[in-house]
Amino acid sequence: MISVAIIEDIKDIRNSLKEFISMQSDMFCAVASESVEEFLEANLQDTGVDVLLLDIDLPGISGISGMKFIKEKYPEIDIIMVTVYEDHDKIFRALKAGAAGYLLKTTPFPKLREAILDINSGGAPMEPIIARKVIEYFNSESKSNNEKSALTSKESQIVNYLVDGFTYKKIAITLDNSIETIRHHVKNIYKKLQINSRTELIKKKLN
Amino acid sequence: MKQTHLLLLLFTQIIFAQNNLKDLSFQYLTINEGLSQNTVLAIAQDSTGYVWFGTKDGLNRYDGYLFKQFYSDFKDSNSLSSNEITALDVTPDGILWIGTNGGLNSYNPNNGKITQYYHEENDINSLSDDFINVIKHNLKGDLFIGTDKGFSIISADKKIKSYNILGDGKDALISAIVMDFKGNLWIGGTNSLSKFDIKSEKFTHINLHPESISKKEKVVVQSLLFKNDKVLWVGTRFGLIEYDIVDNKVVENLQNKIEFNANIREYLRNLFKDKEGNIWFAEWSGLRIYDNKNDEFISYNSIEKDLLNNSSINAILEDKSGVIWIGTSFGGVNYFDPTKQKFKTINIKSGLSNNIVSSISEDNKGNLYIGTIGGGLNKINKANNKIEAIAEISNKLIRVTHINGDDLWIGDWGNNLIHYSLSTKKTHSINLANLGFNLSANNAIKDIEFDKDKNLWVATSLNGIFKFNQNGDAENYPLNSISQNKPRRMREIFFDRNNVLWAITDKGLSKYDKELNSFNYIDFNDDSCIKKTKMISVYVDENNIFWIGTYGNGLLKIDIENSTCKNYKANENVPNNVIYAVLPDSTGNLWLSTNNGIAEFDTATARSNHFNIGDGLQSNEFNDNAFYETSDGALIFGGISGLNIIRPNEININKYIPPIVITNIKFLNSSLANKNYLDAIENNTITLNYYQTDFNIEFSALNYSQPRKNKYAYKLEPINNDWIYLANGRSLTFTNLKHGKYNLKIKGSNNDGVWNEKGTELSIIVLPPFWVTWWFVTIVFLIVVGIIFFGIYLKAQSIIKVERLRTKIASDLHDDVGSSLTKISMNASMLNYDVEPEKIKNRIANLSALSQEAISMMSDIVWSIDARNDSLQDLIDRMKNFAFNHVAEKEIDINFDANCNVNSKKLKINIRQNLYLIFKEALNNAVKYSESKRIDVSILANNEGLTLLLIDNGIGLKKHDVNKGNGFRNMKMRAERIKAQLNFIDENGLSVSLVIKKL
Repeated sequence: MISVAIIEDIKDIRNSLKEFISMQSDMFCAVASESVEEFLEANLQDTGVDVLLLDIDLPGISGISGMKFIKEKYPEIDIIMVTVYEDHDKIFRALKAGAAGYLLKTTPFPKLREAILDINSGGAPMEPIIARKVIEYFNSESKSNNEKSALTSKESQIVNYLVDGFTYKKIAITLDNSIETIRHHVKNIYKKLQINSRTELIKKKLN
Repeated sequence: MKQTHLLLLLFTQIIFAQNNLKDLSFQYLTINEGLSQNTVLAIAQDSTGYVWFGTKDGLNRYDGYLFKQFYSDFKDSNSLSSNEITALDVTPDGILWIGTNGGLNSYNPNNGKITQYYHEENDINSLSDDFINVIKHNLKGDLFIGTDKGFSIISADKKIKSYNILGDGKDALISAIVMDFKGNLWIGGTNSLSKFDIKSEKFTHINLHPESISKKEKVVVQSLLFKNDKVLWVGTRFGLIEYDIVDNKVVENLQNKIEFNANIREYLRNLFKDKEGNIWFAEWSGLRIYDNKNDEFISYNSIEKDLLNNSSINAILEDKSGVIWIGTSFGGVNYFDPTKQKFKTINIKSGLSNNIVSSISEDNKGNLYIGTIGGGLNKINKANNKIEAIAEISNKLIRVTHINGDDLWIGDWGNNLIHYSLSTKKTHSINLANLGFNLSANNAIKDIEFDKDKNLWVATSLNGIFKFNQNGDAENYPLNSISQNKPRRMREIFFDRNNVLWAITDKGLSKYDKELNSFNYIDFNDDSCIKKTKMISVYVDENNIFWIGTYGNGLLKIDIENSTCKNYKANENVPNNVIYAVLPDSTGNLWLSTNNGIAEFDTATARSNHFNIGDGLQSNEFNDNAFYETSDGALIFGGISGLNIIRPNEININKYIPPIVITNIKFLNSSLANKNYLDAIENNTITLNYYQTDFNIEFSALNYSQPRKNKYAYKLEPINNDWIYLANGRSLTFTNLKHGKYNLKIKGSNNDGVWNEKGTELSIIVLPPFWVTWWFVTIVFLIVVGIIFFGIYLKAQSIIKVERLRTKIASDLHDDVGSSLTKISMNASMLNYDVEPEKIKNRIANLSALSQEAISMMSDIVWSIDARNDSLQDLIDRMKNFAFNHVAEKEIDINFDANCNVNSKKLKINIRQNLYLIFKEALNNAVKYSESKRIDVSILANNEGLTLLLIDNGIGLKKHDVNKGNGFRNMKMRAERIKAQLNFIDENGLSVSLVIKKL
């Protein structure tokens, strides 16, 4: 049973999501909170949380800044950003902050379920626009001589294919790897992204 | 008591007024003053008024202050042909002709241009030779040139013709040329003398042998001059020959009349006639003048101070003001200024016993009695002007004299009052100390006067005033009774117009009251004038105004009746603050003797004309009490070197109005800095740039009689409206002139204050800095207006854009989203009516799909409007995203080939939107209906346009699809909206091609 939590301020949407999760046989809703603060107050030590559906546009502590606190409390949590519109800048920021993936609020429920399962099992989706942003990000990073966090050549390759619109399957065929390998690489890319972002933040705070 | 003695007047006129040819004095201009060389061979004055001196090394132009020199420079074509200047002449057109030992030059003063003329071999239309001896001209402007080898004429139209006088291949050396009253030329040289008829171009040889010269001897002519229309004077080495051109005969050889030095073989270089008709001889051994009036020859060949400094004379010129210029060899220029000697001095040289003059008196015959300090008394006889010492007066130190009828009274420094009878010449001396009054010794007698009642008043310096009546009774008024405020010295006593007796002490004025028989000090309200001044002497004018000379306080004008006092001090009104004597002239001006010469003071304007030793005064320092106005109006002032008798009406004033010229302009900090200033003047205007307005302008009044006394005034219109008089100097410096047009007017006066009121003018234009010029301002103004209008246009544009966008958003929302929501609403309503579970399920699925559709549409609209997604790259990215998200799971191999070199190009909203939607539609069709396994999307874009190709390998089109399917219709509509070409090619699948011609 996958423990799914929800943070969404609009009641109707929150309730719909909660209902849908509850209806799934392999999932249950650990908590459906209105805000990050409420979520953090909840005591979920017994059940734990595997996946969190986090609204990007929250009043009070925003979704992106809240992720830090959430990850502190639940280090193993996988966060899926939920957004109304595809604001790729915001999405990228969320990914840098530690999100595992994103979904549109308008995503049909079947797809929603798929995504939760995918991410819970270690998936790391990256669509072309995000891939481009990743490339741009790492390009600018290398200029400020941060060698540890640069992408490996394989990783760069994969990202570039993603920019071109290749599916994971296609990349796997092209590089003669399994899809799992590809997914693993992409996950690493995300990790690096997040690590860099964290150091960036620390640097900014120190300054 | 004015008596007129006509005869005496005549006498004095001759002796005191006119310049005596026997008594000339000269001043010098040599290399010490700036002349280029001391041997002056030629002198001329041009039409402007400059005097030019040609020397053996260079030509000089003199402006009264400086010499401007002209030399020959083989590198400069605008220079003289040679440096030895042998002849000068000025033609009526103003051109200066310069003859040298190497060619003839013409100089145009207006532009500084020099043209050179040379002799060309065998060309009679060139000069006869390069060594020019004489240049003369006629009124037409033709030039007659005598050279070492003959004679040339340059006509006024600059055509040259040379003539061979001797006719046998040899050429004469021509030294002199003159024109007679008929227009014929008389040419003298080694040809002797020839007459030339210009019209017929014929020479007639003249036989010049007087009886005294043997016919074998060749009479070489050196100079020529017409004494009058009939008589030609010929200067030869045998002396001066007089030739009658009417009777065609030699009159006589004047050698007998003139003492030529036969041993030296007189070289009579030049003959010159002045305005008076006197003829001046330039000779090897000096200057000789023929006095026309007296028909006698006067010679100057001694070298003394004030006389010639050198005896070898080459050239003589009288300029327009009457100054006679003499060019010598080795002595530079000597010149005689006829108006310089304005006053004649009588001193020891004239016969005075001593130079220090202390007093002057006149008897009723007009004889003058001059008291001196150290030489006793002198008498100047009116009849014969002889000066004799009066031996009967043994007293050598004379302080004051006074004549009353036959009695001459003398006072000295030792209390001695001496009486001398003019008729009997007997003297009789009284010592005031012996009169029984308590007197101090060393008492000078300061003044002696007689009143109406024939009382004799004697003022002494320390012992007050004595009064002697006709019986000889003496009365003494002690000094401290004269003035209440403890006077220490008596200075003078005088009678005013009302015959009231006044006394001047060192404390001021005291008045004698006849009734009370005492003196009273007169106090004035005006302290500044009286109390601290030391009065010396007084003149009382017809209005009973006292004009008082003081020690150090200038001139005082005291109105006793109104108790007012006015003070005139040096630098403003009078030349010196020590004024010894005040005497009036017949015009009402006052003549003052001072420590700095004599001033003629105009009481109306309070300005004075100054004269000093340079004008002939005995010295600049005069003595108190040494003054007298004679019965015939002559003013006599005595000083430390003699005395001067001044007749104000007869002073030789320089009446010449000098031309005012600009002699130089120096441009400071400018590109014009080293140029000849004449080049900068065009149409009498100089034009300056706004950043180069500093310049110095030098000018001169061309008056050669004591030019240092010239005065100048200027005004720069429109800055000054009144004339500004310069205290000294003859240049002005202007800096930082603002842009605009100016008129600089300069006027000047000669040494005797005769002004050239018209003066000279120069226009000055300072160009405005470009930021002030009208065109710059206009351009800036237009630019500003342009910017404003452009701003308005841009604003309008953006407003229009916003309007359009709002309209578009409204219509999009209305069309797409509106219709979708309507569909949802309708279906939801229909749900109420659906009964069968199957239908309900379908309806719900439909609603779900429609909702998704609406969400998708909203998302697309939002994306297309968002300005952040403007570029082509953003569009391609979105397409890829779409493909990734919607095609990936369908096991279809999708390939993107985006070959664009204009990825960053901004696309218009409608192109972005429609292009994307067409792509979406085409891709959906390919994915859903074509059953293809592979889709290739290619995008080709450049500056010319964009091509989108979507190729699948599916089943291709069914015939009805193209025209009926909504998707296809939509695609067509969208393609039309953006004016793109949409084509469907059905071949091994469907290829959709979209071509946009202009992005």
